[in-house]
Amino acid sequence: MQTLASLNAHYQNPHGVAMVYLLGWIAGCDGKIDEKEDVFLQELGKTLLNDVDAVKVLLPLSQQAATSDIVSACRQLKRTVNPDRAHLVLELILAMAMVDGVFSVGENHIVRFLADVLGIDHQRFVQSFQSVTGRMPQSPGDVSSAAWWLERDRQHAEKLERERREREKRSRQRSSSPPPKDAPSRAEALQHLGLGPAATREEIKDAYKRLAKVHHPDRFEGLSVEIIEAANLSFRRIREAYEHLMQ
Amino acid sequence: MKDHYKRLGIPMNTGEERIRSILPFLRDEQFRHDCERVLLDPESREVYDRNLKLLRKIAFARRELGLDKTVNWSPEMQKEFSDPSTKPSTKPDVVKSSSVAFTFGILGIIAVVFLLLFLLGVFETESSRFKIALRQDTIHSYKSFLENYPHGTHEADALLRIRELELLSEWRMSESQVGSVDARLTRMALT
Repeated sequence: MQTLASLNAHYQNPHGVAMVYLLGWIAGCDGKIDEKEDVFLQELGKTLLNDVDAVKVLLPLSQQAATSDIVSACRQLKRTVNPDRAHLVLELILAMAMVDGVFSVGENHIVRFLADVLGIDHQRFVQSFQSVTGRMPQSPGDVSSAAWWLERDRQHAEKLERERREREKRSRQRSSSPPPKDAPSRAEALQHLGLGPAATREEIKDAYKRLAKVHHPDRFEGLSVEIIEAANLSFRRIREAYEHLMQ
Repeated sequence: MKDHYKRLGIPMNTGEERIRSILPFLRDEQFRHDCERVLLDPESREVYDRNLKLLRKIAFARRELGLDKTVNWSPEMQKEFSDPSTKPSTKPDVVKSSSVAFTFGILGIIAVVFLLLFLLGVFETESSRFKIALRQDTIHSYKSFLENYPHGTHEADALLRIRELELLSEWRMSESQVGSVDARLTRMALT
């Protein structure tokens, strides 16, 4: 099996390897990598490391998450990123964490850890979090307490009830008019903008304006090529989602 | 986030039945309630175990990188996940082989000195050695009785584990609780 050191030697791009490794760690920390995360990572690997199979090799390492590899990738990140612009890298990391529309307890811990690695203070962290998600950061939940699970069960029941109502509403609409062709894509596009299925046109516009400012490639000028490419990728996904929703 | 396994004195891969048999003996109601909800439900336990492993790794990486005192890592978390066996190294990433040999040499000398002191009985009085031997003998005799005991295997396992923890001073039981556990063990062994 490949190691992080051997991949650094192979790609001759330790910063790119560290970025893909750490983002893969975030994507896989909740036990699975869903389709959207996989697509994002593959595009990232292709862009940063110029290899379509880069993610196939790096993901098993990210999921194994050996502490020595984590420490080594973090040291690389710290060495390369200019402290004045570290928040931009954090915003990319947050975008990865939010790509599936869920900010899990594990992702919350990793993002906060990486914010510390990048030397970002609490105030700056809150600002970046708000820029990307449009809401205040919450403390990671305590999954060791019964209270957390009780609350989680309550929210889960509410979500199921909401989904049931949505289904009923859609089935009523379907009986009166033909189904919208882009229904599944619309849900995905809304997720890219961090919005729920009931978002209004105004909310979509606001979310796009906010995210476009955060991810606009011009902001990343002066940072490494890898980070600019990752920002381009992130910006493109947001713009495509917005254009699709506005059609 | 609490490390329940550390508090219970059991490894992460302990079976559900064994955990179920230990929990009734916990004195802290809140802790028992948390353990029941988190460790006895397979879905919760899977999520909990995954996050626990993640936090152990993050704790280690934080110590290695000198990031264990930040707003994002509270003193409680630092304390909960401090593991003396994984202290951060102050060495650079690449350590020269000569310095490795020197470190091992020093550690070897320290180990030999401790071994000699141990053999000379510096660390224990005759009385404490006797007590330890007696306790070990008690556990041994319980175990040998229970090996042939046909019923209530889980209860026997749980009681033994509790008694071992008590003897190792990891479990602070009252005198009456110790007496109760011993009485049940003896009854089971003699039935």
